[in-house]
Amino acid sequence: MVTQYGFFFNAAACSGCKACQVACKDRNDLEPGVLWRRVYEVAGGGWEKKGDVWVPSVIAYNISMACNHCEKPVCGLACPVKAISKREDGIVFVDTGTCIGCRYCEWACPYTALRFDARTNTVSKCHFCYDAIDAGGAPACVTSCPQRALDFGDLAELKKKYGDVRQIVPLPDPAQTEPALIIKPHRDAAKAAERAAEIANWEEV
Amino acid sequence: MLKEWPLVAFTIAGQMAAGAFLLLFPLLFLTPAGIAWNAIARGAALAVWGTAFGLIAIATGLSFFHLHHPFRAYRALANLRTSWLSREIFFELAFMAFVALAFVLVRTGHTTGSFLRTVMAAGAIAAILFLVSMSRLYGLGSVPPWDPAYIGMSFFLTTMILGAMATAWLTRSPLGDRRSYLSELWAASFFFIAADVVFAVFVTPVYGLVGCRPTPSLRPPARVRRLLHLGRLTLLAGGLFLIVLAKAAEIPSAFGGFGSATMAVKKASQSWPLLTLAFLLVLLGEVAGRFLFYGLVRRPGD
Repeated sequence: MVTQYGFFFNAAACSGCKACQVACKDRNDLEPGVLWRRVYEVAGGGWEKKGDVWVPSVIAYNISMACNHCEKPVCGLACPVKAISKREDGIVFVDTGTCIGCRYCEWACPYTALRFDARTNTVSKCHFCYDAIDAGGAPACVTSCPQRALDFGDLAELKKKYGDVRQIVPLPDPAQTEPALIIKPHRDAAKAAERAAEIANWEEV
Repeated sequence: MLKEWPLVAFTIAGQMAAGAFLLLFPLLFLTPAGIAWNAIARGAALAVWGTAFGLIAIATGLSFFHLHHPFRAYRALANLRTSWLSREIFFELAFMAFVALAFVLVRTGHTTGSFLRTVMAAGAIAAILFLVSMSRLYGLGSVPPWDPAYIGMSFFLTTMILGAMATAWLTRSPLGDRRSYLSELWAASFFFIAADVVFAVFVTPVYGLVGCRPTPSLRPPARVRRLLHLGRLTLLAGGLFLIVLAKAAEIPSAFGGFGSATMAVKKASQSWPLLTLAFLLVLLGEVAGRFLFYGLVRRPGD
C-alpha cells in the first residue's frame, strides 16, 4: 500500500506548454484565476565578457508546481479548524465544509499551493485527483503532459527511480515541509542563483 | 494590503489592550487590598480594564470581517495542539475573560483577599501568551519578509508604546495624586517611541522594506507602499516631539518660588491636549506601520 504519494517533475524535459495547468483547470472546473497547478518560467542572466568577447549567459527553464502533499504539511499544522488533513496515502486534502476562509494557510505554505476560491469562499488546492487515483488512474496533469515531464507514484519508489533532488531555484528549502516531490533539474538550474534568476511570468501564476 | 484592515485593527487593538493591562499591572498588584484600592487604584483599574475589555471585544468583532465563513468561527480553537492561530485566539479569549472578571470584582467592591490578585496574575499571563502567540503566528519560515526576530521586536515595541500611552491617558484623573507613575508611563512612552523610530530607520529597511525579499521565491514580489514607511516615521517623530513639548511645559520655572508647585499642576492640566494629540499621532503611525507589515507579503492573484 502506498504510504506517501508524490510527484516527479523533469525540468529538463518541460517545454512550458502549460498543458498540465489547463488539464488541471479543466478536470476540476476551476474558476478563472484559480490555479492548482502552475507553470513558472524562470529566467536570468544576460551578457558576460569572456576575454575580449561578450557572450550571452541567459538561462531559462520552467517549473510545473502544484501542492506537493508534503510529509510535514505546514498548511495543515497552521490551520486553526483542522480543515486540512492528510489521508493514509499521503494526499493532503482541504475540507471546504470546515474551512473558515481565514486564508492563513496561504501564508504558511511556501509553495503557494493554496488558492482562494471565490465560489466556495474557502481555500482550495490540488487533491492529487484522488478520485482518479482511487479508481486506479492518474492525475490529470500527469496524463496530459506531452513531454512526459510529470510522473507520480509512491515517494519511496520515485526516489529509487529518479533520485532525491527536491529543490532548484526558486523553490524554498525542502526542510520546511519535506515535500513529496522529486525533481530532475534543468542544466541551467545550477547557475540560476549566481545569475539572479527570477520568475518571469508573475501575471500568469 | 488594504484588504487586511480587519487584521490591522485586531492586532493594534489587541496589542494596545494587552500593553495597557500589563503596564498598570505592577502598580495594582502591589497596591495593598482594602481601602487603598478605593482611593487610587479602583478608578485607574476600572478605566484601564474597562477600555482594555472594550478594545479586545472590538478587535474580536472586527476580526470576523477577515473570515469568509464567520459562522464557522466557533471551530477556531480546534487545533490548539499545532496551530499558533488557534492558540492566539484561545489566549485572547482567556485574557478577555480575566479582564472582565477583574473589572467586575473591582466594580462590585470585591477587592480584599487574594482572589483579585490571582485573577490579575492570570490575566497578565494570558496577555503575555496572547502577545507571544501573535508573534509566533506571523514569524513564518515560509514568508521571508516576516523574520521572526523582526516581527517579535516590532510587536513588542507597538505593545509597549500604545499600552503606556493609553494607560497614561486613561489614568490621568484617577492617578492624579500618583503623578510619579504617570510620569514614568510618559517616560516609558518616550523611550519606546524613540526606540521604534531608531528601529524604523535602521532595521526596517533591511527586513521590512527594501531587503524584504532576500531570496527568489514562489511568492509574488510585494508592492510595498514606501510612503507608508515615511508617514509612519513622520507620525512617530511628531508624537515624540509633542511629548517633549508637553513635558517641557510642565517643568516649574527656576524662579517660581512660592507658587511654582501650583503652577506645575496647572501647566500639567494644560499639557493634556498636546499629549492627546501625541497619542493620536503615534497611534496613526503604528497603524501605518501595520499596513506596511501586511503589505510586505502579497497573496498570489492579488
